Amino acid sequence: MNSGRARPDLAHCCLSMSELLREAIVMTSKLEQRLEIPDNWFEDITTTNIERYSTLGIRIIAALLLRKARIHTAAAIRANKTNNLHSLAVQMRPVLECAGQVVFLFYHLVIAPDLLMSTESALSAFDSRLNIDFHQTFLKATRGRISAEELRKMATQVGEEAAKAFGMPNPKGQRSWKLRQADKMTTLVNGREWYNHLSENFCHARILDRRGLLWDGEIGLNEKCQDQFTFLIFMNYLLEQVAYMNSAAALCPVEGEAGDQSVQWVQPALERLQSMRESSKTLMDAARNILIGESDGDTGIA
Amino acid sequence: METQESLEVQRARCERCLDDLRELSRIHIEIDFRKRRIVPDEPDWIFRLRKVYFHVIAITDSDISADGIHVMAAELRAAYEQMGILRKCLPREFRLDEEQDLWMEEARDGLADYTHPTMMNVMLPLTSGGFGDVKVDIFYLKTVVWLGHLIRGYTQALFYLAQVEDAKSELSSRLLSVLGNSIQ
Repeated sequence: MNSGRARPDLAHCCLSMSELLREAIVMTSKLEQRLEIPDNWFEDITTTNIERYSTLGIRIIAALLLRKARIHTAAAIRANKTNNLHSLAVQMRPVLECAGQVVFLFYHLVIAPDLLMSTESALSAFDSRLNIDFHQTFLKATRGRISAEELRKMATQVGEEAAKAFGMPNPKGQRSWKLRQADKMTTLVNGREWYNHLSENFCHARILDRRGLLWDGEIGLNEKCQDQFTFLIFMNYLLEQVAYMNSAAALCPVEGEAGDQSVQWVQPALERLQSMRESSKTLMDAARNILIGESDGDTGIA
Repeated sequence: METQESLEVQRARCERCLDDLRELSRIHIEIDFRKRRIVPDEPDWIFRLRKVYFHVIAITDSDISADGIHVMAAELRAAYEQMGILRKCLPREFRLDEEQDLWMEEARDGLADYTHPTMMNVMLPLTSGGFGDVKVDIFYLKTVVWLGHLIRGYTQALFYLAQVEDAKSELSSRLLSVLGNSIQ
């Protein structure tokens, strides 16, 4: 009955996608190590005044965002392994938020200046984001002990000092002090849409997305295929963004690094991004064909 | 030495909470073993409880560590949000009045700090959602409190599910045992 033809199934596609994701976070981990933040970084930032544009400050922020992304991606891989779509979705969202911010960081500090916009505009956009972030984070952390007005004044003052240190004119007045969570993902393709989908369907309680809530072993073949395809779509998007985040993080300047940064880090990260895109596209195409075959009643038995 | 012992005791308490959650997930499967279809007449709260189950499974796979708490908090937050809605579907005798706002408040306050990373937030202390300044005793305490609330709420919901599904009385005594551990 069985032709013996080796035919991949959706579970194999999920496994291969998971493997690609694992490779991506190995790269994330290497990038984190490359940034070489001191063990006592927390004391450094609280006891000494790190200039905001010094590479140490940037390296600390980048390394911590990479670490956060790596931890949650590892959990997403585990969720995929245990067929836990709801866990995959909630672990994915912080990764995407980190990826969006790492891309934002190096777009404005390395890619855009003088190439896509003036240095002044790029740094001003970065400064504005940092001000809002500072304002919102500390407003929440201090729980009203410091007023919003006072925090805004502090943020403006730090911005002016940083600009002065770089011989730049004072930053323009902050237009807005509000950053929505989804705004952090606007640097990613379809970032806002993904953020909203994950939030509404999985992370919050308003809508109950019933996908993945059927107990294993008791569900119809068609539902199982669709569930697995959902895993693949999620993992595929996650992989793309982690690889993109890695390529952005490779642009982080590290003083005193031996060798050519471009050859050592930037080019390999871009090559990996390209090869991962190709591999994941091949997997998604194969998965689509399997899904179409299953819906048409093709059992694969010749 | 005393502090060291105390930390070990606190860590063991966290591990015991994870054991209790593992037991609850096993009981849940035994009570809600029916094949359910995604159709409008299936009660919404039973699927919400299944969602809690999946987050509980992920929580029990997490480590009690500085990195593990980031993973755990994301799952706890989603589970808490479901519990906030779920409790409204439970009869009065299966819920506590004082927890009316607890689920949503905690989900949107302490737990949310771990699920919305920002450039500033990652530099905050571990107990505020970042990676800095690891105060282990506070960290263990927060973890136990978060897990303890979930154990209690999940157990209560499972008691009601057991009643609805007319489950074996042996399952209720296992639930009682977990609830007893949690209260201790």
